Amino acid sequence: MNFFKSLTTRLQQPTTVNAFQLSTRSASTTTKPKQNVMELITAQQIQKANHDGRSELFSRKNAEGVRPGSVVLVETFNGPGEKTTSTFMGVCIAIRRKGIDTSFTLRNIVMRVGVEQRFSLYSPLVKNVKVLQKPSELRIRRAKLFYLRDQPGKTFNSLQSLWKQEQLEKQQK
Amino acid sequence: MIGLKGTLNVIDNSGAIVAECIRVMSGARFARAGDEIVCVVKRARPINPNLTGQAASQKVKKGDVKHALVVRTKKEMARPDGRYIRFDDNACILLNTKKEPLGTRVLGVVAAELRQKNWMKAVSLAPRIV
Repeated sequence: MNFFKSLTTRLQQPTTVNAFQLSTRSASTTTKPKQNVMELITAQQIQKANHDGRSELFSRKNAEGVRPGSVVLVETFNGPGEKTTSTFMGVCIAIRRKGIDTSFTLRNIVMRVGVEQRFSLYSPLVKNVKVLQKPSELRIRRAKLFYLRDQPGKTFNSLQSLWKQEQLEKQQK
Repeated sequence: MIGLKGTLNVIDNSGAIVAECIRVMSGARFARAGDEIVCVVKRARPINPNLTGQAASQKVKKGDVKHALVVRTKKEMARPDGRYIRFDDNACILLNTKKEPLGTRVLGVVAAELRQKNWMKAVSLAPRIV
């Protein structure tokens, strides 16, 4: 009923529009800027998962954030419902930026064997990500430091002392 | 991902140094950490001739066929929480017929998959689990 009423009223109204009116009409109508649906969904997911500010740590503009070559400490819950945590510390050798699937790989030498772990940044099991040491500006000229698997140099020498420092700080708390 | 002809470092004190996989016991093509395999000892530590009979018989020689438990793999393993872990080498510890570790000590880090798959004796011997 309403549709037909509006149709008839529309048909009765004058429909001729001159050029000047056309240009002003298009300028005055406020159309919403079109946003990519996937970008919107990703942004919403990240906002929901980013309850402790971890996305700022991985922002490219953050000088204090995680970058390839920085020493990072990650605390993870041992299971979905558990409160007990396990920690892993290592040099960040790769950051894979894919919105909600952003992940980073840490490498460390444990008992003379190299161990690499890849963590999903927005996983609810990741309790805490902390940067222990910034990368030395001069040496790191790559985004992915896979060459450290063959030529570690002195990169992993300082990790033990950093670990002990971290343990001391934890005990003092 | 250890399959036929895959080489592993043996990280217990059984005397073997390098082992080669000849069969994956679960029937799958490849073994991961926490899986049992059958392997041949490719290199072993020389057995001291002065050693007494019983201790010498427990040591493993080159060419022995033994069951082993994979404890580290170079191929990344997925953890149930979405983490991936990989080590720089493949490693195993030899087992006896009763599925117990042959050696008395484990030297080196092992994967936490052993605990998940109920290899409790091996886990108790391990100095470090990641």
